[in-house]
Amino acid sequence: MPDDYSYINTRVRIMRTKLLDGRALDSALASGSYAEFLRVLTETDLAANLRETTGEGAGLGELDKALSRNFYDTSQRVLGFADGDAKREIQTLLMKWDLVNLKTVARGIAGNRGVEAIQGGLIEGGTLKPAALQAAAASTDLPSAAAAIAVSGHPLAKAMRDGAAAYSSSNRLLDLEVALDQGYYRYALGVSRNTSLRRYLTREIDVTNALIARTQKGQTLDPSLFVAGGSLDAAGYSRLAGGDAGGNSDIAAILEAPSLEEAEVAARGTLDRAARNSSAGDPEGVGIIVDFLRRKEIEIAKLRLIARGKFYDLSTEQIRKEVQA
Amino acid sequence: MAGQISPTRSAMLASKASLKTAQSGADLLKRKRDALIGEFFALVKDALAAREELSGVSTGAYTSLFGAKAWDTPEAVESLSLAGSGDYSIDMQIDNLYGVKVPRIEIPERDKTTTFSPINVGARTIQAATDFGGVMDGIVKVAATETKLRRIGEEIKKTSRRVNALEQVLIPGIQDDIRFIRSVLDQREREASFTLKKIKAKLEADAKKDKELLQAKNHGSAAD
Repeated sequence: MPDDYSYINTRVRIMRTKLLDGRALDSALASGSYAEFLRVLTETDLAANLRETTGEGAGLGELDKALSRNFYDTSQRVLGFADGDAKREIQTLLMKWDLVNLKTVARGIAGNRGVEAIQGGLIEGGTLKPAALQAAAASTDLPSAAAAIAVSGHPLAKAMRDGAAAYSSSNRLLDLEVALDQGYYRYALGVSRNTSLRRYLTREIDVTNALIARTQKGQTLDPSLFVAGGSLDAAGYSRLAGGDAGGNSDIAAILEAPSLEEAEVAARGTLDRAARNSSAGDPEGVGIIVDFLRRKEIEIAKLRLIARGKFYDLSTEQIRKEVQA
Repeated sequence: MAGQISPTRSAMLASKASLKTAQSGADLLKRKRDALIGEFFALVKDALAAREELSGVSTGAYTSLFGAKAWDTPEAVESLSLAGSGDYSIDMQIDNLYGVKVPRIEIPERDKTTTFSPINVGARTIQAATDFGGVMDGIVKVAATETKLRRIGEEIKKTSRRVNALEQVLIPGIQDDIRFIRSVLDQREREASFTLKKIKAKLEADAKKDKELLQAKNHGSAAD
């Protein structure tokens, strides 16, 4: 398996050509019903994942699973092209799904939801070994779950252990989740060295901090939610509460958005631009992959939106407005 | 009823007293029913407003959820539902409204602090979580007004049934009893008066006979 990005990026560039373009999304949008929308999808590369969606009694749940499966399969395929440092860098991008899984396990255990409910909520994406996840889900308490993850040697095991300790002392799930999120960014920044991935992560951290400030508008910012590693320091973060974006127009757009939805649209636009810049500025590095995975995520999100619109029989204009947001 | 009652003057007095009580009871119940109907219609307005509010916040919440599941993935959004304990405490007191026990529910101030980390969670999801907090408040408000409405409605029905029972069954029954007792007493009075007349006539006839006998006897002794 080659450890250089020229090979990986060649493969990823080919995969990028198979992403649904504007015309394909338009024909999906123009479909007159949910059934017709599914038929349009079966004419694309997504067809292989859509078998369950047309069965009797199948609905949005089946389509959501199919689309998620397509996304996770695609990301695993990209990961399969890589080795060494490149693999570690790509893994950091997929660890977002590990975070979701670890939070699901933690929430399930803390809320006494039972093994079945936890296992039913786990997703098949990410880099955690399924056996480790199953063992963690079957644990009776959080320290045991953290120990089960640690056995797998996963990079987020330490964050999970810290989170479990934080939960034990405060009994607040929020502390555990924040420890996991902070641990993820610490690890990702450490792995990303001085590459376009680091620049993208820096941007993502800025957007995250700005979105937290926008969400908590009118309240005192919780300093424990500050994610270090972006262009802002802790003092800059606390100034976000007063609307001071520190001269950063992207952060200002998020802070000044009249609603949370519009703040998210601004945040999404910033991240899309950051991913495209990564790709353009780092054609021989991880930037192409950052951009591809971002595009794939957006493609799946847009298909979910169109599917929901068609399923609930919304007007094409309404769906288009939401998709273009 | 009339067949079981003894047709005496004291029974009639007792029936008349019962009739008076039943009539004033029916009157009171009618007034209670009218007051409850007034409360009911005043509350209908609140209930409709609460329903409308719930419908509005639900539309917003489901739209947020619609976007959240699309942009942040259904898996990540559903994972959040495992976090909450599902406990929702409310402050409920029981009020007495014209003898009807109705709940008075105070909706608690919503805790605006998040129970999950907002890092790596989309704004749509946070918005959906906030909106569904509003839906919970709306459901409690609707439950409070509609429970009150249902209790009052049931009480109106019960009171109407009681009024009808008094007006259609009990009061006519007592009136029948009174009519029956009165007719029996009248009949007895007529019989007594007839008997007395008969006795009087007999006594008068006897007296006349005695007088004639006495006169005949006096006339005979004078001739001797």
